Amino acid sequence: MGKQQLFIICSLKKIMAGYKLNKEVLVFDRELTELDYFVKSFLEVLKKYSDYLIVSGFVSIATGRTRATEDVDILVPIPKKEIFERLFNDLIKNKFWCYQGKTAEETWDYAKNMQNIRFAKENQMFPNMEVVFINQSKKAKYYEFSHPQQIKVKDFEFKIPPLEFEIIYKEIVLKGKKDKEDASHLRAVFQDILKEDKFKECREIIKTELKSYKQ
Amino acid sequence: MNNLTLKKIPKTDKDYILLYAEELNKHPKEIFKQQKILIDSQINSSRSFFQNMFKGKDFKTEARKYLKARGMI
Repeated sequence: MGKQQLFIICSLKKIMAGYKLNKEVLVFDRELTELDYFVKSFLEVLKKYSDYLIVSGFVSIATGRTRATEDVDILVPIPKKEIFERLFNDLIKNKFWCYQGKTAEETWDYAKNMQNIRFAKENQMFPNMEVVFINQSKKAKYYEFSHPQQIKVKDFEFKIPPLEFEIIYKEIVLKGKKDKEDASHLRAVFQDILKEDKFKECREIIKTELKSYKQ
Repeated sequence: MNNLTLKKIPKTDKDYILLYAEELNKHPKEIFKQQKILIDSQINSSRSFFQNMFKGKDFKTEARKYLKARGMI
């Protein structure tokens, strides 16, 4: 078989799998769900002020897993107070509300102390965006944040962790039933593109962080 | 690399996840269509549930009371 034929077969296989890799971007050919529209509307505001990384359940759901979720976890570097205030007020202007407080002033302490805060759409409780503040002291989280994988669904583009990191993190850190199932889903769906050396690298980073917590 | 395919009758939850992933890889359009129906339905039901629960009251005030009572904030 010629190289060209092999390339066509491999490309077809990727399209058949519901996604294709286009210049390192995972492209999914599906319609947006209500959950996608919710995340998209939040990112449209957040991206004006900060970088981010979407992690955990939404990664599995966006790549095809059919399960319920109440929250979408998103890593955000701790902003300066002034940026936080502008972001908070812009979210309120765009019809989000924050579980933890009515104003940026009363919510700032959460961010400053790296405690999570949640935003939902007005007159709705769920889904919510759970903002997880990070800095460089969180080695594993900072690693995934610095090595994003781009995903595209129609006109909705967002960043997730390297797939191998997401799988290992769910298997050895979170370890809940739901998390292990998410990991199995990701392993099965992306079996053609997952890389063993990347698993090794991610496993070492996560284990080092786990050890530092135990000390 | 990981040849994860199901070659037996599914019994455990994990078996069903692998079966689902296989189906997703074989018939992505149909599976994504079903996934959208389920997710949209979940979100619409939740919206309707809480709007009815707090009907005629200030949503955010009631929602914060609800969340506090359950230790969520």
